[in-house]
Amino acid sequence: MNARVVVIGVGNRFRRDDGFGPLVLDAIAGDLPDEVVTNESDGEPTRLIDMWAGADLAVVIEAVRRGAAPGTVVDIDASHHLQGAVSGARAVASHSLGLAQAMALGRVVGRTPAQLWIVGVEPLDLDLGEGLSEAVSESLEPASRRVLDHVRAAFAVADT
Amino acid sequence: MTHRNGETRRLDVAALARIEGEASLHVAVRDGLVTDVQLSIFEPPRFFEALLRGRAYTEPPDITARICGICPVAYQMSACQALEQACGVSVDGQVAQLRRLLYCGEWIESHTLHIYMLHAPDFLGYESAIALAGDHRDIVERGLQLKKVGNDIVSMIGGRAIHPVNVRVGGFYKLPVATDLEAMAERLRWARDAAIDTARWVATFDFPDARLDGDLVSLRHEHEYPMNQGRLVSTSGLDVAVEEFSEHFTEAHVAHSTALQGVGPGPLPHTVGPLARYSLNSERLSPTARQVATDTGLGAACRNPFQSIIVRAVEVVFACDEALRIIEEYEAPARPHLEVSARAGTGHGCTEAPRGSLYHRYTLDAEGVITNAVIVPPTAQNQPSIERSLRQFVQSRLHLDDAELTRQCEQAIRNYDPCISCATHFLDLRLDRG
Repeated sequence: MNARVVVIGVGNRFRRDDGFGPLVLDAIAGDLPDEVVTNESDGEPTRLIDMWAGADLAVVIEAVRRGAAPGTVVDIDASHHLQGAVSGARAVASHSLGLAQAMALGRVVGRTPAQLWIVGVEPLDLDLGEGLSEAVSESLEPASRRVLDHVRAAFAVADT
Repeated sequence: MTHRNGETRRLDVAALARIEGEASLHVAVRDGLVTDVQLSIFEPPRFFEALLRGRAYTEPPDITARICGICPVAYQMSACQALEQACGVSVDGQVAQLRRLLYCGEWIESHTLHIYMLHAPDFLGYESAIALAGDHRDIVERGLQLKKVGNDIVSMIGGRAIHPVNVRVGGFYKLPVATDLEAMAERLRWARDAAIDTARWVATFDFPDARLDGDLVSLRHEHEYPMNQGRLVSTSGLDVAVEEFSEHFTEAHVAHSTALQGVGPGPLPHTVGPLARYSLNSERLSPTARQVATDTGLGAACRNPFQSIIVRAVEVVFACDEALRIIEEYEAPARPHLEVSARAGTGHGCTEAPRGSLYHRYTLDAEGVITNAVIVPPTAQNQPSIERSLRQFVQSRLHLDDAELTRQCEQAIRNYDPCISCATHFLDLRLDRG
């Protein structure tokens, strides 16, 4: 049986390094199995939960600010954030919209993937403009590899 | 005090805040009087105006759709209208109706997102829609389903839910499939009922007393509730063609914001958006939407910005009704688009984005290369009006502590559904009590 896999590139191609997610999608387009669904997203949570609801695996690719060196790739298994009760109203700050909110909202309304990986990059430049900064551009290839590894692993599990 | 995404969550999630979109509010108080209110909004249109110069006249629908993830259709529609005018072409008939159907999808989607995910939690005292869903899952589920109907209309006609790719100058690349339209009609009948329930629900909220005292401005069309067409009118009697926009509305640059602020013809700041649209056009709503407006206590006009949540819900009822009408009367046109040849000239476009009138102007050379582009988004026009209303609002609430005052200011700002670089809203309130 095939795994239901969705790969989502979150970001804005006109905000420099914020375009990382969509650009990784472009880079791996030819390497993904046909049955993998790909989506570009602005990160709006209700759309994200529609995209990943019921999937065996969702991989979200996004520029993520963690204070690391620009271009640092992070690979986070966020699946544990999709289970259990939401830990209080203050868990999510005031009405901002994004991936954390999508995970929390998905939990509350029961619309989550079984497994969620976040492949992120530390951005350098989020100003208006096209094209990635050099440091982040160099991370396209390693991040793409990580995404493809997750997808292959999901299909390998489905085959066993 | 600063609100940042997910501060209290574990580090690996806290770090996932998207950086796009910021707003800050600076309030100065001296001797118990509010002396200054400055709302700073980051807005991208200036960048896009520069980006568009030197591009082909066929490109703005795709490029400007990326200004906003929530209202890409509005940017596409204003762009197409302006470029078609510059080239001397007028799109009508079923292609124009399909554009209106596409716009209905965006209104349903954008308004429902705002009502359920952003504004209703304010009124009900919840920190967020997630907390609201914890107590009222069925209500939030209704909102999510209703919004999805809007998304799916945009996907069906526009080709994709965000950054629709099927829109072009002159019309569309492809026409929708008849069976998809039929299936959508069935969902819209459910959506209309859900929208009526939404309006009844939000009408039960408590609304602070407030009144917008400046001019209300929107499009008005001879027969239709305005979306894609009409003249620019105001409550003080302005009634001009869209081409005259710049003669009556200018933009002023202020130091505290990257957005230019709209300046209208009246002595007080003007306001665009659902309240203006409704107050100037309520008799053009469908019978069902008019009845819902009456049942929820709205008069023929509404100037309380807190009640904009009811007006949005009424507009969702209308958009469902209107989408159904268009689908039921649809006959596939011979061609999905008109051929539009380039010529030198200037064209103007103004359409009703969910959050208000959105104006575009393009000047082309004989080869169709864009030599000048002007984009005036609704939030820029509303900014002086938002600041003025906040000044009064904060003055009467100075006894509140900073946290509660921030919460209430966020609610008051959300009355205008500002496009704060659109998908992500952070409000950073700096209160200088002297």
